[in-house]
Amino acid sequence: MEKSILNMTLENLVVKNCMINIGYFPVVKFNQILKEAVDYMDEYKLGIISIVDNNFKLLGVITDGDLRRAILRSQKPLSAMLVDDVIDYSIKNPLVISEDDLLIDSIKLMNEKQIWDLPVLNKNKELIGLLHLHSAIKNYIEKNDVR
Amino acid sequence: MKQIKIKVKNNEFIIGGSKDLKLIAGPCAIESLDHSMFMAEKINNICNKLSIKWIFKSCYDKDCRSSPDSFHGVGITEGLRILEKVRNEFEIPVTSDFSDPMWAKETGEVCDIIQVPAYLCRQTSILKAAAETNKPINIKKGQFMSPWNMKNSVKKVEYYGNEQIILTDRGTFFGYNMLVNDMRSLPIMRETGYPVCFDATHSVQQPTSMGNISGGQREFIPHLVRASCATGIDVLFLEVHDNPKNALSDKNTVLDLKFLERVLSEAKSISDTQSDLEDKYGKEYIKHDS
Repeated sequence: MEKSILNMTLENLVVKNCMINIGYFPVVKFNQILKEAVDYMDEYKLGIISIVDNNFKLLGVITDGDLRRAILRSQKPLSAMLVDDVIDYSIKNPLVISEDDLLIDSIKLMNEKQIWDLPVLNKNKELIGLLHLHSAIKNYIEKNDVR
Repeated sequence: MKQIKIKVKNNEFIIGGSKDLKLIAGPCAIESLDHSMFMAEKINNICNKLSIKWIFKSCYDKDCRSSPDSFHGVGITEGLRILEKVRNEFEIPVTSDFSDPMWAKETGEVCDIIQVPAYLCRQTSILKAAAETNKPINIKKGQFMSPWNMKNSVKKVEYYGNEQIILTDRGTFFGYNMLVNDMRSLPIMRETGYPVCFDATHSVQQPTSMGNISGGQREFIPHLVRASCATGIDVLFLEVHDNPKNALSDKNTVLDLKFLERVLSEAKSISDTQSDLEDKYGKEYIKHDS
């Protein structure tokens, strides 16, 4: 991946060259419980988790902020929340990007929406990666030779 | 709401998502063939009169008695023989619990519903054995369990390939030797998508409050029955005996047969009213954010 990035210019650097690949960011099935989702987010040290169906189609996401709001809004005991299906707390139809989108456009989108992460889908709408703002900026800085 | 189909010859009905309240009833322990037949006939007559579909419940082995001197049961072979006779004679489904995974298969060959005892409701080996019978499973909520944590037991049974589940509340420990009934547990357990049942007789138990046996306050049975039916339960569970004072198990909590018709009449009336109201106003109701 690094070699291919070196051969690309800033203008044509695309998302799939900079995204976090499956296996390196948290993903859960829709019918797992919220506790498992929080565990994965903690394990991967990322503030977003993607929720998928059995075919890896993205159903929603939960962010640290969504969790904060859920805790403040819900009057359930925490132990009752943690055993709920993760999908019950997810944001459906989240913003997503394609693997072939330009990196610079995705960074602009994150800035505009004030978000840190964007799930990446392939042509079949399957989840294949996550674009995280830090890694996106890192690539941008390296290409732009910003010191 | 997931549905459980029960069929014994021409007697066919559905538990879950149907309007009619169902009943699980019988003496706590199988005492003898004659007594089981007598009780089944009496309960059957009342249920026929009130048009209530029911399941005969009686256990062949009582493994959670407080004292080794207490009646332990007639045993699996004799117990299942008696349950089968009741089933064939009255064409009604039968159920018993089991407390050893080795007994599950045999129990499932006779019983239409397999009951998982409250004390064992999170025991993986028991839940696995129950699931593998492929029969509907009635899991009693442990007195020590929160209603939402019953989801873990549900997931275990689903994991082992069985999605025919009923969840029963039978009270929750409130300090030592005392149970309370939190009616919120019924709608909470219903969120699993499975039918729920309320056990009104074990709920009035005061576990091991009398030294080496459990006490109870049977005078509260009708109150708890009415309250639970108003929440919209699918099944009511009552242990019934014609001579409570001499019952071989749970004599302090079983309902006297002479009160069964009245208790069931009240239960049916309230359950029907609840169903009518749901028809009139819809199932959607108050949510936390609404």
